Amino acid sequence: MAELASNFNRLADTLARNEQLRRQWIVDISHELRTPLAVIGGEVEALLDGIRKPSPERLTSLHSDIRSLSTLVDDLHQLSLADQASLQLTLTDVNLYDLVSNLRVLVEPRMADKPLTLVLEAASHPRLSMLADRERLIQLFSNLLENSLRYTNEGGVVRLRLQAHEQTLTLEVQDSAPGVPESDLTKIFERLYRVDRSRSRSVGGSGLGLAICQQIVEAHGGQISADSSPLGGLCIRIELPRTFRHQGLASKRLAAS
Amino acid sequence: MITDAKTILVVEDEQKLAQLLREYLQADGFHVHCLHQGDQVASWMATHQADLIILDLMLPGKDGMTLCREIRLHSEVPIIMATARVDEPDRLKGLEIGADDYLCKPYSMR
Repeated sequence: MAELASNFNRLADTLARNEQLRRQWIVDISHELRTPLAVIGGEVEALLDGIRKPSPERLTSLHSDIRSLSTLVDDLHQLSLADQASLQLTLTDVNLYDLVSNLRVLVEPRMADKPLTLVLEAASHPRLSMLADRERLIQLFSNLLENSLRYTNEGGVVRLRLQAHEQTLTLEVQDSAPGVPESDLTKIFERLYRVDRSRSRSVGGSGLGLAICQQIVEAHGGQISADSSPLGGLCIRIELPRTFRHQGLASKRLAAS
Repeated sequence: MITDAKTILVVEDEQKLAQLLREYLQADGFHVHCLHQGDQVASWMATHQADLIILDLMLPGKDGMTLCREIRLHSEVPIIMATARVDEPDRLKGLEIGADDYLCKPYSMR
């Protein structure tokens, strides 16, 4: 009887905590939406009031503000899908080397513009293949490269290391300064977390990119972690199992909440 | 140029919002100076005089709450706090520490 009561209390505590987290999440999202809306609303009012004259540049800037808001809403939608464990994966045989090489071609010109040097360390190897959702992996790796592109100082280096092991494939994205304080390394996968929220907002991140990365990795039965990079910045390490284990996702999700 | 124009200091990290405030206030005949970091305020105030300060709550460098308290130690300049947080406790705290009024984003410039 006592055991039943204590189980019941534990359940009630968990429910209360989840409700608290859910409320905080809604407050955070509202805050996240309010600032870009204030900017867009203000800019449109300024045009209406004749404070500003309409010009192609003003409209382009407004358009890009609206696009970032759309991205934020898309990201939120994807996170909620994964929360319900309904993130559908379309599995095919994916060669990580080919996938990363293709992405590299896409992102390298923008890296060069900053300028940043992008280095890929991997041997082209048949063992770098795994069963995975190609589109999700592209999203995962692009998010990580975008992050490094945004948060690495000009003149820096971004290094991608791809390795094959017996049971797993690992990918590391290492970048040069600035880094993330040791105490914040575990927090960077939290939704809306930013090392310096003000600075980051102007740089353009939604604060959801790494949370989405974590969900994609976990949906594939893998693990993602953050550490200081030997290059002086951040190192994100991803470990993916070669053999796909979709089972366990739902139970892991429950245990995590 | 109006010589007796009042000067408003805008401390707002979102540069587009700061620029909008500047344009609206200038259209109303005010001098406007914008700072984007909390820790730039003290040195600006050491050499300039503001007739009103519009202070964002969440700022890099030093937050609006701390700034407001520090400014109150040596100045009675009117301070309006601006923030995207609408929680009531924040609102009360803002006024207790010496702010004169409070604006919630998204505020209209009109």
